[in-house]
Amino acid sequence: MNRKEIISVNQLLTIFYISIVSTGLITLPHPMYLKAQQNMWISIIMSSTMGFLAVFICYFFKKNFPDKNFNQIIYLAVGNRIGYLINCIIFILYSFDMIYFLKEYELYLTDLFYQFMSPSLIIGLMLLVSMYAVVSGLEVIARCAQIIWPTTIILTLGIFVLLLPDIDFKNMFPIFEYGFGQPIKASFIAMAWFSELFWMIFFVQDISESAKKLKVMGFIYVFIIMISLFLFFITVLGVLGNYTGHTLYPVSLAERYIQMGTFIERTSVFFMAIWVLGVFIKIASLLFILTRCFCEVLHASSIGLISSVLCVVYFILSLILIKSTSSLFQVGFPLFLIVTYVANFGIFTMIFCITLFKKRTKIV
Amino acid sequence: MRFHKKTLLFVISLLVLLSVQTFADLKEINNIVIVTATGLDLKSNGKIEATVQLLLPQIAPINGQENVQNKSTVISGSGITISEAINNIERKCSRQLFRGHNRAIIISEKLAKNHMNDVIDYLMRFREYRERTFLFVTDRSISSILQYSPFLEQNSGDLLMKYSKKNGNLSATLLNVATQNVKPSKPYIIPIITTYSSNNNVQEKLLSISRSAIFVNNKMVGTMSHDLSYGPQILNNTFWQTVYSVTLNKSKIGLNIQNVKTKLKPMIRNGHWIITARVSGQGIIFEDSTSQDLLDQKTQRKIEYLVEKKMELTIKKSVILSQNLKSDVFNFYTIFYRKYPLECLQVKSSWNDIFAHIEVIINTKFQITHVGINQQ
Amino acid sequence: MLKWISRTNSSKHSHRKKSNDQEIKKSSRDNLRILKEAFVDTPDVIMSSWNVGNNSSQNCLLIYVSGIVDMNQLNEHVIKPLHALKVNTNIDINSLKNIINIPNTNVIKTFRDIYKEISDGHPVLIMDSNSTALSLELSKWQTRSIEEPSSETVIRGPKESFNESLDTNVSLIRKRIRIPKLKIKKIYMGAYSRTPIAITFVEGIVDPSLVNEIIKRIRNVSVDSLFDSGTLQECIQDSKWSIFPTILSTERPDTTSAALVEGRIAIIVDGSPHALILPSTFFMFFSTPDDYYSGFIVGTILRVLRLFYALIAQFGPSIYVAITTFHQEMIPTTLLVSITRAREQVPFPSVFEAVIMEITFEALREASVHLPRPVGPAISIVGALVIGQAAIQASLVSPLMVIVVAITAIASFMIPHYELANAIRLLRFPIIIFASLCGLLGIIFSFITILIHLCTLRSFGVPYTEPLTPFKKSSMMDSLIRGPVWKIQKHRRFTEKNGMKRERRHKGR
Repeated sequence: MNRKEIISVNQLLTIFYISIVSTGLITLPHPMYLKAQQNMWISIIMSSTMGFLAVFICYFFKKNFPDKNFNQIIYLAVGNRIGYLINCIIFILYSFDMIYFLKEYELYLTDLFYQFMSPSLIIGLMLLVSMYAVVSGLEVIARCAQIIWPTTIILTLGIFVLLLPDIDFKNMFPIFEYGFGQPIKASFIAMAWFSELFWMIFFVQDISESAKKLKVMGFIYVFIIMISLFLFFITVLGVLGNYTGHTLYPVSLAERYIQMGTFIERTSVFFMAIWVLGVFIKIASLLFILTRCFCEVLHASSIGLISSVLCVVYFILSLILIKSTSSLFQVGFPLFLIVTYVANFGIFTMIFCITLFKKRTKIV
Repeated sequence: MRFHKKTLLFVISLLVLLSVQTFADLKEINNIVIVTATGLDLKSNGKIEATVQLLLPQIAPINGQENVQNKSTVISGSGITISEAINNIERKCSRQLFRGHNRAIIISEKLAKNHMNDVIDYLMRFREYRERTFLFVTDRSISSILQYSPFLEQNSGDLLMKYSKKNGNLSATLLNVATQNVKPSKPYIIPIITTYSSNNNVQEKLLSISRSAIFVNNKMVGTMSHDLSYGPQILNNTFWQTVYSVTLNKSKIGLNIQNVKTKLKPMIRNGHWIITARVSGQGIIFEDSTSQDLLDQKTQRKIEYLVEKKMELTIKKSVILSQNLKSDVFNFYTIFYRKYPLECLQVKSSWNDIFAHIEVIINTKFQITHVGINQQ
Repeated sequence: MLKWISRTNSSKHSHRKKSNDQEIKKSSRDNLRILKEAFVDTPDVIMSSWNVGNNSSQNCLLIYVSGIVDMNQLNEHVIKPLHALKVNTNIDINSLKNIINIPNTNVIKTFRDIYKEISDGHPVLIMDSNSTALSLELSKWQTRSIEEPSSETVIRGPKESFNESLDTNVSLIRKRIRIPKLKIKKIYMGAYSRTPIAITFVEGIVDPSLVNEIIKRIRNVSVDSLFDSGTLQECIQDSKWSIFPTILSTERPDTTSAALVEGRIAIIVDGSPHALILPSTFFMFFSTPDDYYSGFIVGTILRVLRLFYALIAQFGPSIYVAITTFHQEMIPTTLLVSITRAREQVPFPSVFEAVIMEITFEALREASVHLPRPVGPAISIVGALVIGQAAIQASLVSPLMVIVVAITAIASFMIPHYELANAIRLLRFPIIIFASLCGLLGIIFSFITILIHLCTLRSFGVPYTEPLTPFKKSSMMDSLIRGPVWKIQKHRRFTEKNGMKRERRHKGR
């Protein structure tokens, strides 16, 4: 908008690491087990290819349009009118994403920990805090992410190490007993999470370092994200075995089984608290992207006004739409996959191809 | 800056209005009562009766003296489903039941015969029960078990939890049973506890694990004695330690068996399903009633041979018993599945019958590591 | 409000202002009359006049404030030579300089300058038939001697501290940085107090735009009086509404010199023993001189422990309240049983207990600061009795609450810097309330809010959470951990390349 934000590549990638791992560990294991059973760890390795693709496309945009806003890139690629339409479509699709994430977070909390607390309070607090972060600027979100990432590491390694005596690694086998079809289908689900890395395109103008560093660090971070999710999957498979598909939140069930020594047990509330920090980073960064998109759609420039309006709208919408766990899993999740693929993979790859084509034929 | 403050105030006031409901989840410590054990029984009219063992908080004396024994009490309630039964208990209690510290769940034999499915489902679904709670089946009345006050622990819930961890007793946590519940023919094994009078005092009763119950398809089909229950423990690698007595040359030797590990190797040859089990263990000689030179290699080899035979016999007997009951408590299905997935999928629905005809070959190798420092 | 007062004052004294610009008259009788008008009701301003020279023709007027001039030197080097003067012609100012043996003299032209010099303790000599006067730097202020620092005691390290005199303080810094590159800029602040402040920095290491920004901010401040560096801190600091301090204040010259060598700026205010060091980041508030003078391993461990205890000080009571009212499953069973037992008698809910205990402890702490020394130990015994035994025995609070409050209090005293400790202590109360409403979720959200606030703060362009985020490898050696001396003794630029430029851009918010 009217303020130039400068963040470094590491900060940006940390934001995405925290976002993807935090929501991935809650939502991913159940549907992936239903598709791939004990091969879900192979699926997650295969799905990291989407992450590498996303990093490559962002590197391309950074190299060729170092200072341009993403919206300006769209305008350059397809012209003003279609570009404006694409902006609106992206805004609407990401709004659904936002509502899905808010409801997923709130339903998880009310199901497992706070059965009587009203959902409006849980969502309202999260939106309020995210709005404060967004109004303070992208640098603040990036700095918070840099302080919060050790807690995500504690979450990953903590659950893995504390459950190590109970993990049966043989539960990961046999592999590919039904052929390659099922694991590949399951990896499409995980690719939706890795496609969140496409959101880096919105922040490409703010990075102060070179495009090459973005590429190198991006690949490293995709690998780290893949390893974190892989560790969670191994933990879940090792402890729960065939029961993984019968529970909606396998990681939560596995973590309730922790008992080490005589006093490290019943730690699920502690891990929940750490997890909420990760969700905050995700919602704050998504709200920032939405604020920017909406400002571009309305040609406005005041972040405070726009973000507060958006917060109120999302608050009301998330209370009206997806009201129960079953509607989240039956209706919300497939819709979310479709929306994510269209918005992240579809639109951005299309813009990439058009820009590449134009560059090759030297129109741009 | 001014506009920003306005919106913030507006939103905060909105939330404050909504926050009237925040106190809903608050559980003051003095408004909850800790449940240490739960018992489930089937009454004659088909209703389920739930009994809870509550820990009564004693008021701390003013001059700061410790060692006040906590008392426990027992309340029952009945209903068509387990949750309705518990709800009836809550109606009779002035405080809210808090089951986050529940130690053990005791199921009566009558309920175990036909309704294990309900029990497992309720326990896994309700969020306060830990997945590490131990399950027990009992043939006595539930209230006698729950009202039993042990001489060492505070209540029977604590006692049962500690029993499961000690001295090679078979234990079944909720997660174990639930995981087994999704395998073909749903086999699992749960220890049975019972009370019996002690030898010294006929009035006084002791609580201990006597046998183990074997389940197939959520129905209790038979029991296994305590000695034979070492078989499943050894083959599932959950064995800790026990003491064996062997007789050699008219002398009785007591050995502590520990560190027992098993490697299972499945094979399908010409339609025959064979499992080879390689069991290895170590032992320490605790007692020898005649004075013979235990450092002698030959004597040690003889003792080891005797122990190996005894262990093989135990495992074989337990396998035969479970094959007769057609309950795969050794988890052979998973072991075969890892190596021969396609064949297993074909026979999944009739796994009971296949299991009854699996040939189990057991090779034991036992080693005495310490003989004690006493020498002749 | 300040501006309105200074405006009205200036209108009242406008005619006097005009007269202050008046030049010195050649006739000493006129000068004397004007001076007597100005210094009505000031018996300590002494104006003595006598005639000098062989013919006693030239009148000499000496004005000074008794009590703040060095009378010995004045007698010895000014009055005596003048009395012993044997010339026939009128002396002018230039030759006056040769007669008296004072090395530091200034030639002044207006009455305003005369008033300035006299208030500064410099006697002024006015010779007849001269339109300029001579001021002599012979001030001797009464001041406290150099003592041990009262709030930043160390076990290993120098035990000198600043006192209220600006010259002494600057000399203590000069003692430690003995190169000509140490620059000092002197500015007078305060409409009525005209307090001199010194801005010290080492040229070549410091960012020149930082110095300019600070001087600009100080010049923009208009206060009536400046008696302590705390007032100055409040006026020039970046975050006007934040409870967290963004400027470090210290009593120790060795801390100040170390900061100067790092490239920071120290501001010393006359009349205040606390020097301001800026820019300062969050982790600077957790370092004590002990860390540097003992080994680096011990220093690192102590620093990490301090940060951990700062967390406990902030969230201790609220975690206790949250866990015992919302998440009882986290507590081991035996502990839960004993807590229940203890709370059977207590009539209040947990949150009420926590707030009452915290407020009582704050009251005790505040009262102990203002106690006269003889009464101190008695009150501490009363405090221990009241809060400890009696409250438990009367069943007003439970024993575990007392332990939690005591541990939190000790943790908050581990924070070396008083202002930050205050901020953390005061922030505890809303967090306790929030924890009682929403449990651990409330604590997490308040942690996030404080985190966002800390990340938003800037101290003169430098982000407040600097070496941790944005991650600066060179500064990391000295923030969370205390690296070995050979790794941190390099001049490091802590301001970002465009730090000051971005600072100016953010001023609009």
